[in-house]
Amino acid sequence: MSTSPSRRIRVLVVEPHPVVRRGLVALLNRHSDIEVIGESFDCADAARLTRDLLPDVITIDAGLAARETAATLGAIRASNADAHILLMCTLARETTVETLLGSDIAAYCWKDADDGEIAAAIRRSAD
Amino acid sequence: MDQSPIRLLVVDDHLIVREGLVSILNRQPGMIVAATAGDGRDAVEKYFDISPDVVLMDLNLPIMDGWASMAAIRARDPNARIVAISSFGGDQDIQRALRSGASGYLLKDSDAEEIVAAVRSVNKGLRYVSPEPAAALAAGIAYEPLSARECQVLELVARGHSNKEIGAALALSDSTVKWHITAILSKLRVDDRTAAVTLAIERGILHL
Repeated sequence: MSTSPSRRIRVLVVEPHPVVRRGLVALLNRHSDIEVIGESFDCADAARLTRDLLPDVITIDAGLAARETAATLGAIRASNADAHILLMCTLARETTVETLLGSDIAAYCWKDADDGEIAAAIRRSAD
Repeated sequence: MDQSPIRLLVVDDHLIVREGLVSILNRQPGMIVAATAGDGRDAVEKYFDISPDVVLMDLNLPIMDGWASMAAIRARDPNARIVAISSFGGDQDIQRALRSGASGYLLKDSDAEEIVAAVRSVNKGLRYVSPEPAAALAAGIAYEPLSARECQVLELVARGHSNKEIGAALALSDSTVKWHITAILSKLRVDDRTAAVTLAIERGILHL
């Protein structure tokens, strides 16, 4: 890692829906400055992967985040305080986002975002 | 071994979902995504451009919805093989899709294995409804369907209108509106208007 002059943004994708997960990974891997280093179905696994892989950005499905307790989301944060969480609203209802913003999560990305907007949201989160 | 691959048209307005479906299907041996479309009208055009073996079609689409798009495709090609894939799980959504020409029905949270199984079945000319929508269909059969007029009344109820306002909007007397509402509650087997609206949305009778 230290040998690379411009390090890529390392992303962990936490997404319970297989179709959305595959789509997100396919889209992100097309950007040369972004690298998906791990994928997870649920938050418990995500906390372990965050600790082991040290991602820069963690994308979490809004519906999944809404179902999890603050403690579970806190565990992900505690696994790596430097990681930034990006909420992905893909199949989730619009109302779930409102309840989550303002907690530990600052950024979100809407489901009808295009390729460039999704990558931009990742880059913004990593800053 | 030398069989030609199943050529697919993937239709979804959301890029992430479309990419996910393409990635899943293209990784399968014997399957290839020949084209994608982002709305229902585009889907009809692409269908007749490339003549795919199977279409994977979202229902909630801009410009022309998935039900109308399937009907347009089947009107010109009655043998078109279409799998509907939607986040709508209400029995009325599923029934409408099957009536519009879908041979298969999947929910959007399906895994790769299920999507591939549906495509293979429908490609063989079989029907494929995954367990959750199948259960919703089975439960929905027990209900007597609402008439077109009852659906109109219920939609106005859902929008918060009083009986008097509904009567004015549909040019019906107060007692006729009441009579329709009684029939709606009885057919949906609920006790009040709120429960009727909730159930109607859940079953896909209403989309607000």
